[in-house]
Amino acid sequence: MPPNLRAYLLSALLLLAAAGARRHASPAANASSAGEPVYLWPLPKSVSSGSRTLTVDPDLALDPQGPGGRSLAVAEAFQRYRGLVFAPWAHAARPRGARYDVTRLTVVVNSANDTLALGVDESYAIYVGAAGGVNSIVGGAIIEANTIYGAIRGLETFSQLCVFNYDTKNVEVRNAPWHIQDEPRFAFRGLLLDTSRHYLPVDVIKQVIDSMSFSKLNVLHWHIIDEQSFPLEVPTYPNLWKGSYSKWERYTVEDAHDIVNYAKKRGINVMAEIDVPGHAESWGNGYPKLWPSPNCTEPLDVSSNFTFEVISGILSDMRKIFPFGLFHLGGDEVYTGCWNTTPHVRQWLNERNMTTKDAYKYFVLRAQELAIKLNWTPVNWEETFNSFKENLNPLTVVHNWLGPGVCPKVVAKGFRCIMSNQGVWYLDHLDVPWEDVYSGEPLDGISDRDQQKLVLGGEVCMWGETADTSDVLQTIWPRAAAAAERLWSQLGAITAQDVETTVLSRLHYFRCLLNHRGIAAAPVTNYYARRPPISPGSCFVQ
Amino acid sequence: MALALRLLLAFLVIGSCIAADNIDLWPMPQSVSHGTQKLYIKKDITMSMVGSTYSDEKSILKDAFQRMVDLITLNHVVDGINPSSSVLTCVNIVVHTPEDELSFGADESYNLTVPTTGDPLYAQIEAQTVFGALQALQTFGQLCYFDFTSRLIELNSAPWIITDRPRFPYRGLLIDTARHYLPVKIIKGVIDAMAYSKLNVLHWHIVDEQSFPIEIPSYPKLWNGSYSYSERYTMSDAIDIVRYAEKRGVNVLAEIDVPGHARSWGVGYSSLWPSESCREPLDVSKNFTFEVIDGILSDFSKIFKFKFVHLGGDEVNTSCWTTTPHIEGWLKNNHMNVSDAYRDFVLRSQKIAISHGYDIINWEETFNSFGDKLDPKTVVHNWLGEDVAPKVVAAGHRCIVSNQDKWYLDHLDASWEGFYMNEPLKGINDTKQQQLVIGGEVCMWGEEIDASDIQQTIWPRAAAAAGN
Repeated sequence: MPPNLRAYLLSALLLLAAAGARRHASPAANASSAGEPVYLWPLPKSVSSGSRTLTVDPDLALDPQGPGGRSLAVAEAFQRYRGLVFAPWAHAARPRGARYDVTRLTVVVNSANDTLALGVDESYAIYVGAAGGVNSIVGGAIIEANTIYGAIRGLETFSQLCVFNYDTKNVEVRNAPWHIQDEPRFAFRGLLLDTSRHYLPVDVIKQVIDSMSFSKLNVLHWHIIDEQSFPLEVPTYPNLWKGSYSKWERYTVEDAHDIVNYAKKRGINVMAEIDVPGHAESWGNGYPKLWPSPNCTEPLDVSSNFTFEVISGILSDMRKIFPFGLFHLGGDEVYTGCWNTTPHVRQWLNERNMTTKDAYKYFVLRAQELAIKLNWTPVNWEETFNSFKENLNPLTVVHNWLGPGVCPKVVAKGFRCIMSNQGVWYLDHLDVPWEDVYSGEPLDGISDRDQQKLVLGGEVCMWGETADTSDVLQTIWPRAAAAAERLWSQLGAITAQDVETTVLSRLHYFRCLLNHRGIAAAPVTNYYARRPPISPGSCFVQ
Repeated sequence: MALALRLLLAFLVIGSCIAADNIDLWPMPQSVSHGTQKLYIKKDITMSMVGSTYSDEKSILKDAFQRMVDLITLNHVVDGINPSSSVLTCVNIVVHTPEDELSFGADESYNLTVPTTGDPLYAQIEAQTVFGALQALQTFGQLCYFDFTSRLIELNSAPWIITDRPRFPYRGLLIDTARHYLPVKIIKGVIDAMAYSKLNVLHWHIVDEQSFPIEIPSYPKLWNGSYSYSERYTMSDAIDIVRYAEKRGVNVLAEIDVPGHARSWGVGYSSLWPSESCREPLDVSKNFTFEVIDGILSDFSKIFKFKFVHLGGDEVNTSCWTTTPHIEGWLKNNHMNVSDAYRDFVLRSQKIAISHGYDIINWEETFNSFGDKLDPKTVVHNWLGEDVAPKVVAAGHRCIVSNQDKWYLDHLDASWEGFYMNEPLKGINDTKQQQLVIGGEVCMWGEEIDASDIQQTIWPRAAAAAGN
């Protein structure tokens, strides 16, 4: 068998052996601390562990090394993870003169470059060992990475190695020494958030970003605007946000910058979307000229240059906010009825001998040009590919959503693809249990290696029609974690596990970890998403 | 934390669309008058304590002020330019007593004035205790909004003159960490939200049939009854929660429900069960049972400094006492029936709690069954229905109202209007008796909620009750 597959199986077997020795039961109340398995989510590429337990100093110090080790982002990330791993009282409760096995976390980062972009090196290695161990003279923990963002991924994994011992009241790393080498399978591991169907306060978006970082998701696809509301400030066209639901349910330009910066510190890109020409009814609240007519209010008026001036203005304002190389231009569900029935648009079509389908293509391509001119790569929903693939700009990344089997067609034509097959990865579909989410596979039906490389990754979509601040986090989690592992972990390791035992127990553990970190992840085993627990019980079995 | 605030604000936004008068405060202060002018909050607004007798050594006030500032600037980048006039530069807080230990009945009254004249322009808070000042800061924070034009925090409808005091000293919320374990962070989020609506007692129903999550150093096997090894609270976690709450003016009332609702105790100490096959109530015939209760209350007394402890006493199904031979025998020897034994259990537990310095709260069944035998200082916690409080106060006992038809949050079909309209003093006309009603409590029982949905089950309905 190919050597890679053997390596995958070996590492999967190692983990299975470790996990299998303690088949899934709720971590028993009176199990001794040494009997506790350690769970990591998502599964790293290669893991080896031992059987020693190491204590971790509550005053754990950061030992930064390498050109990037001393960066502010690493220091801040370390502080954040310190706060997640240790209780607020841990420092005060630390006995004087106490000795711990792990007192320092060395973080070696080879590059100081803090540019965050698609495909940035997120690989890392972790070694946690005891003094006198095979590979180390000094006991401690080391994270090594090429970039700051690899180090941040490593910090997340390290934080999951740390568990609290309720008998000794120490934080420990069990089953040491640990040797972990890890990198993601896909560079694009996204979550879509919809702030148009319901406004989400900035602080809530930040909580979502935090939760993404816990499972190593790295692209926040911000579907800012849609039919129902236009919440974002656009300085070039300041009436646009009159389409917000209310005068409080808005984001200023600075708020958007704030969100982008907050995400960047966690190694998360923000991909903004301006969905055109459909899904844009709210634009006309500020500029009614954008509607074909007052009683036929979408799609955007294709016949008017003003429409494209506004799009251009929006894009230039956004270029200053969103540095991510990909920009989403939507293009889905375009109902062109109003173009046909509105006289001046009908006339415009006739003059150019265009059908509404031609006009749709024209609109999308013209918008793409505007984005490309601003040095963006356009992402479009799959209808654009399905309707006029021969004319679609070759730079286009096609975003699948309608169903399975689309990315194979997309990559066969040489386009890059993002998978969001709604049958498994639409989080607003509450009747998709986590096992189905876990089964989504971006490379399904694609066997050619070169074509596989065109699949950038995938994205779970939290459409907002029936989710708001009160329940968005428990609708996203824990199911998004299933996709997060599918996108990060090695395929062989994923398929080598048993879904109903190994994966389930690990997902239970991760869900409880999310709750412990203040993220309202829902019970795992309910069939319908975000439902309450049906009865009293442990987090680990519900 | 921010989740509940957003729900509260959503509530207020709706209110402001309807209210012609622009008073978007919750709960509504006792007396409010305001004007029509707009003020701006200075970007680095400061706090002063000129005229205070209180020294803030524990930083209760400074921390609360910083939290308020962080909260009003939470969701938008405030980068406008301070205008040349109408800028509120400072909040001066005058606290008249040095008291900094939170206690039952602490004076929470305050005056808050926001003038439109003065140079420098500053708001003035006056309170008897720092805990009144904390409430004033909550109200002040609710007057502040982000202005999308000026990119500053604005304060509308000034000048404001607000006088406020709570109608009841006990304004509680029950959380249940036995049916589902609630991580410490989640509990803290609930406490934050309580402070926003001026609720001031967190009734922590820690233990019940299903699980025993808290560490009891005197009897360390008790928390073997937790759901799992990690669904536990150490003593340090409990102290952390109590301190977190105190800094926000929230008392923590611990409950150790006996003799029913205690099946989980036997996981660590099976002799507490009447028998292996009949596991509750706690075995009344053994001294060991009361030694354990004593150990629990002794450990509690080091952490839970609220003057009350809740001893439960509800829904006691005594059949295991009559069907278990050694208990049957004990009852016969002591010439007791099960009602006597229930009564004696409760009274004996009360005495233990009193010996540790506590005043007692018990659920109403104790009063309904043997009210005349209860320690006279017992506060009776009504939950069964709405006709109980009048009887309790007529008998001279203090009362907490939680009638389940209106104030049980786990009843998902109980509307916010019902929460709002529920009146603790209903049916009580005598003023002396009215004073015996120390307040009320909404109850978030945990059978069917957990960390994933507790906040949205509590809010906004609990705020409706808080508005009372």
